[in-house]
Amino acid sequence: MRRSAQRYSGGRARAPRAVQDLPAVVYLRGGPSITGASSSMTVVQQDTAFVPAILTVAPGATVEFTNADPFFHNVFSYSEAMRFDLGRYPAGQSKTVTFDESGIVKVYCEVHDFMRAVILVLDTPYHSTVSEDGSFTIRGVPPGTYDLVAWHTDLDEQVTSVTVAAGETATVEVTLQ
Amino acid sequence: MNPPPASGRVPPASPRVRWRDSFGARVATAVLGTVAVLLGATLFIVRLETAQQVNQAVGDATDRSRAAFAEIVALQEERLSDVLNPITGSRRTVAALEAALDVGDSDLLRQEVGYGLELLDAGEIALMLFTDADGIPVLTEVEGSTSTISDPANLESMIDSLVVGESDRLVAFRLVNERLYLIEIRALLLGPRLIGTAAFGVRVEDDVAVQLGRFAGGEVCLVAGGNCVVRSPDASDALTATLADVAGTSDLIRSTIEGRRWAIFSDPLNVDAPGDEYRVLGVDLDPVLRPFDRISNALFLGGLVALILAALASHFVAKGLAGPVRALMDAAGRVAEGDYPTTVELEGGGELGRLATSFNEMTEGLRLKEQYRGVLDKVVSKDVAKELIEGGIELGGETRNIAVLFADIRGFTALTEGLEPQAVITMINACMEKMSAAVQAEGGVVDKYVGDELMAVFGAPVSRGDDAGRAVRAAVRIQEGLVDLNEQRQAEGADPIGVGVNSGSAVAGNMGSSSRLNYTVLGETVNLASRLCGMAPAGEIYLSEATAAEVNGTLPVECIGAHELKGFSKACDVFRVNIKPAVDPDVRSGVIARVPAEK
Repeated sequence: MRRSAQRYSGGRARAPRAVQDLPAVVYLRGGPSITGASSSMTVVQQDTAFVPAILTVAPGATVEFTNADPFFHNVFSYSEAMRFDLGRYPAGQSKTVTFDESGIVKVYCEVHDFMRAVILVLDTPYHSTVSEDGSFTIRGVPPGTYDLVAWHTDLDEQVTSVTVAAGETATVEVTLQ
Repeated sequence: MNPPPASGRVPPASPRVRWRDSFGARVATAVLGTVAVLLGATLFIVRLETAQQVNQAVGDATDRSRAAFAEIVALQEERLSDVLNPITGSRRTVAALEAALDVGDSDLLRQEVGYGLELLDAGEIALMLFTDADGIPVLTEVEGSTSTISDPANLESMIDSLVVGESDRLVAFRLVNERLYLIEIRALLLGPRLIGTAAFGVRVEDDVAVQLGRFAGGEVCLVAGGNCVVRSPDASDALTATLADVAGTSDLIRSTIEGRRWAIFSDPLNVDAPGDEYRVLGVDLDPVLRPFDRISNALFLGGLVALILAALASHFVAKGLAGPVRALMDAAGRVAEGDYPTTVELEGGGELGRLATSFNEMTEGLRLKEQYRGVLDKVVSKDVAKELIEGGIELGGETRNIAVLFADIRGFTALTEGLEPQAVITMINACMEKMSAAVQAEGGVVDKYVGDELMAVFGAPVSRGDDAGRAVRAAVRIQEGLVDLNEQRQAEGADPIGVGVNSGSAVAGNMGSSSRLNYTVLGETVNLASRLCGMAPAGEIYLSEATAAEVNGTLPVECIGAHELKGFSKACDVFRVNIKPAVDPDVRSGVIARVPAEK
C-alpha cells in the first residue's frame, strides 16, 4: 500500500489506475514526403483520457486539445520534436499546438499521470493505426520498395522492407517486442 | 613398674603428631577455610552482580541506541519521502527521463528535478542519480556537481534490485565517494514499463553519531568500507579505530582503551539492503564498574585482614587446646607404660578440665587396682591371683590330676628354742624364700606355709603338663638350694629338710565362705604327700609309687620298700630320689653318703 501510495501520491489521493493503452502505428519510410500541411485536428480530454490517444499528423498541422472533463487538465510534452506545456486549464477550454517538425511527441497530463497520448508527426501520407485485432491497411501506395516501420510507444521499433507491386496488395507480418 | 613420677605436666614423651593431623592444622583449616569460602562467595556474588549490571547497562544502551537510530532513520526517510514522492510521482520527471533517454541529453531532466527540489526547499539532497531501465546512469549529481561515483558498486546492488523487479523502492546507507549517505532509490514506471530509476541521498553527518551517542550513553561510529566515516568528534582516535575494527562482529566485545573499559557492540546499518555498513556503539563501562571496583578492593583488603586475623585466632585457639590435649596424650602414654600414678592438672573448668579430672580418677582407680593385684600376688600364687582377677575361680572345687609337694624343716621347734621370735621369723623366711623360689621355678604354686612346713601344688589351678616331674624337680631344687642350710643345720645338730612328693587326683578349688576363701587342694593324694614328707629324713626326697612311676627314667629313684603310713589302711611303696649333686661333687657325695638307705 505504501509503495503504491507513494507512487501516486503528491497530496492527492487517487486510486491506482492503469496508464492509457496506446495502439501501434505502421508507416512507410522512403516514399514521397509531405510538408506544410495546414490541417487542424482535435484531441479531447474526456473521462480522464486523451481521445484519441494516437494521432498521426503531417508537419505543420495544428492540434487542438480540448478539456471536456469537469475538472482541470494539463497537457505537456518534453519530446524533442515538440516541447510544449499548455498549463492547466479548466473544463470546456481548448488550447492548440502546431507541430512543425516531424517526430514522435509524447503527450502527458501532469495532473493525471495515467493519461498519455502520442502525436506522430510524419512526413509521409502512408501510415495506419493498427486495429485491435492487430491488422492494418495502408492504401494507395505507389509501386516501389519501402521501409515499413512498426512503432509502439512501449515496444521496440521494427523496420521491415516491403515491395509494393502495381495493382497488388503486399502483405507484411510484424511482431513487436 | 616405673617409679611414680611427679604429677602434673610432664615433658612430651609421646611420638610427635603429624602437623596436618594436629589440632592446630584442623582448627586453622576450619577457620581459614570458612573465611576463605565466605570471601570467595562474596567476591563471586559481587562479580555476578557486576556482570549483571554491565549486561544491563550495555543492554539498555544498545536498546536506546537502536531506538534512537531507528527514530533518526525514520525522520530522514520521511524527509526523503517528502522529497521523492512529488518528484518521482510527477509525470514530468518520467517524461523528462524518457526524453533524456530518447535524445541522450539529461539537461532537461536536471532542470526538471532541480526545479522540483527548489520548490521543495530540499537543499539537503546531496546525491541524485538517475539510471535507465538497465541501470546505466543517465544523470549523476553528488554534492552539487555532476560527477562520477568512485565506488559505484555500493549503489549497483540497490539499482539491480529495482531493475530486475525485486522491489521498486529501497532505502539504505551507502558509501559514495568516501562519504556516507542515506539513499532512497525508486523505480520510475510508466504503466507496466520501467523507464529507469531515481535515487536521492542525504549526507549522514557526524551530528548523527553525536545524537546517537547522547541517547545511548556512549560513543557511536558509523563504519563503512572498514573505516569510521561518521563519528562523534569527542571520541578519541584509538577508540574510533577499535570501533572500526569491531564492526561486523556479532558478539559483545569488551576492550580497555586508554585506561577506560568499553563494551562494544556492532549492528548492521542496513536491514533491507545489507552491505558493509555498521553502526558500532561503545559503552563506557567505567561509571558502571567503579562502585564495584571499590567494593571488590574493599573486599580484597578486608578479606586479607580477615584471613590474617583468622590465622592468628586459629593459632591461639589451637595452642590453647593442643597444650592440654598433648598433656593428656602424654599422660595416657605413661599410663599405658604402667605409670599409674600419673595425673594431669589443667587450669579452667571446661570440657578439657573435666576430662583431666576424669583421667585422674581413672589413673587413681588403675593405681589402686595394681596395688591390690600386687598384694594379691604376694598372698596367693600369681596363677591363682590371675585366675581370681579374671573371675575364673569360683567357690567349689574340681577333681584334677595334680602333684603335691611338702617340705618340712626338721626339728623346727627345737631350733627355735631360746631364739628371739624375730630371729625365728628371719630364719624361717630365708628358708621359705629359697623353697618358694624353687617351686616357682618349676611352675608350681605355693599353697600355704604351715609353721615350718611348705605345701606346693603342681597342676592347679592350671596344668603345665608333667606336673609330677616338675614337682620332683622342684624338690630336687629345694634340696640342692638348701644344701648349705642343711649342712649348717646338721652342724648345729638339728635335722635338715625332708621333702615328700605325691601325685594323683585331688579336689582343687576355693574352700571357705563367699567372703573369705582359699584356693587349695584336698584329698588322699595330699595326705599321702604329707605323710611321705613326715617320713622323709633330712635331705631326702620321698615319692609315692605313682609319682616314682611318672618320673622314672628321668631321675634316678629307688624303692625303699613298703611302709605303713598313718591314715592309710594299706602299706605303701615308698621311693627315694638319688640326688646327684651338680655344683660340688664332693659336697654332694658327702650329703648322699649321709643319707641312710632305709629308715
